[in-house]
Amino acid sequence: MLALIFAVLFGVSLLPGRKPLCLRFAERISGGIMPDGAEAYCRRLTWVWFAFLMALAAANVACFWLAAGERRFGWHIRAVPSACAAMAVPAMLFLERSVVRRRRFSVVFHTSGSTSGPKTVTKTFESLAREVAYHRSALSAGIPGFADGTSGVTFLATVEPHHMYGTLWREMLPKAAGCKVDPEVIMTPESLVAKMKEAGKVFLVTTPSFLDRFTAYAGQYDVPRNCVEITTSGALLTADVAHRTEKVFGIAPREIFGSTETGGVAWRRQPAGAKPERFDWEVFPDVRVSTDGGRLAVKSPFSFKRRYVMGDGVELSPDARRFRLLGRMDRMVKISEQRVDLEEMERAMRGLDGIAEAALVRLSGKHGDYLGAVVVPRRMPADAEEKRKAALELRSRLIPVFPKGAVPKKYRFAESLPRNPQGKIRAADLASLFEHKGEP
Amino acid sequence: MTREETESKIKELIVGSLDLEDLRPEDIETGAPLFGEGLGLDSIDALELGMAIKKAFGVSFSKNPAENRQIFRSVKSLADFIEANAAKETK
Repeated sequence: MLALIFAVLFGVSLLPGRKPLCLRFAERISGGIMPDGAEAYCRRLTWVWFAFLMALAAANVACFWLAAGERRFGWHIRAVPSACAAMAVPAMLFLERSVVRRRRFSVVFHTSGSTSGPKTVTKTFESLAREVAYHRSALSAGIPGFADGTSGVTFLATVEPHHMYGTLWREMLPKAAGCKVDPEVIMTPESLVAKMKEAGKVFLVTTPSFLDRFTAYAGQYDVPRNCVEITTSGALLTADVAHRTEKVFGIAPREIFGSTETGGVAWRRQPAGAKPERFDWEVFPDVRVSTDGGRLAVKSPFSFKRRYVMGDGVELSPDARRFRLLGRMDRMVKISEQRVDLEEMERAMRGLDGIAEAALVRLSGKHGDYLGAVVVPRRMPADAEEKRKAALELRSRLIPVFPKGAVPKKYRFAESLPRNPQGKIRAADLASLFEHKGEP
Repeated sequence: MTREETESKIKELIVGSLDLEDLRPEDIETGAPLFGEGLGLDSIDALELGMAIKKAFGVSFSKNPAENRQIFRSVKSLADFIEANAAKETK
């Protein structure tokens, strides 16, 4: 009987003008992001289910008929248990889908590793699809037609598609929102301006480092004012760059805070003229945050784990729906048994005369770990001997700044800090600058 | 060993124990403080330097930390200590 009811449900959905049941399931699971040909496939799949369930129903009817005949002819058939066993087959198929395929249909990301080496993070397709579905509906409030694919927006991106931010924002989101995506990874201001002029409305997916460079020189370009949204992620946007971006593009960028592990956690804008809020990050509605030893702990449907503690120190608002970032906690390292906050030390170094930027990295030597400092000086030393002297001079100035025994032992002077295309300074890239010129 | 040779040997040992790729013996001033704001020697560096000096010059340091602090104040004070103690031992 049950089989017949399901068979009818599947069968009716195949009638002209109706959505095949399997297609409806698929849309639900994928958040509306479907590969080409998925619709025809789902229609065929619905047919298969319909045929299977009809056959099952027919078999059941036959069994009942035979069971009724048992008394007449003395046959011994256990009709009812066999009918139940038959229903167990589709039940097991559903179980297989939710347990096995959940793992198999996953995406493996390789993260850059802000503190140490790179690592891999495996995320289910469902967690990505949920996140995309959320952003699509949230953004539709500000972009007419974004939810139903009629916005006419073109996505332009300065980020590559293979990492988390790129996958979600330049691949999945435009597909879910029925938008065009320019296939190029935009690297130069010229190509961005040219592509913006060609497009009607633009959704720009970018990073703080791109916005920083672009807005510094934007005066030379005639930048059209057709951006409906600008998102940045990967590193924090300084208020200065946010305001410059707003001046050039006419809108304040939307910053997404998250990680490959957790997916998006919170967002903020820093519009010019607005007084910065104490808790400037707004947590996404489906995400729950708490603190764990001062760090941000995240429970999220977008996450790869039920609960994940991030490396970021945080102060939560009383209702835990907003927070303020206090810097990365996992940049606390131990050097000569001293706890050193690399972030704090970098800030202190930037405050010294003659230093534009500074980054620290933990290195290993024969006497244990020590620090290396990469410095962008305001005036570059002319030659190796001047660099050597400058390093010694800088080191003597850092002695009162650093905890005892943690003063950097090695120094590199650079024109700029090594940043990857996502604008992040990776520990591995810093460390590679120290690979030559003799191990201490 | 002349006074000058002793001093330059001490400077070499300091460079070795401080483990700084940019530091050369001639960068170290004989009278300048080794700890704190000068060269920024820390206690672990001093321990290593002490052992290296003991090995190179055959001198033993005091058990009194305050006295040792005086001895390790500068290259000059180290050289004074080495000269005095090496002299004692040869007598």
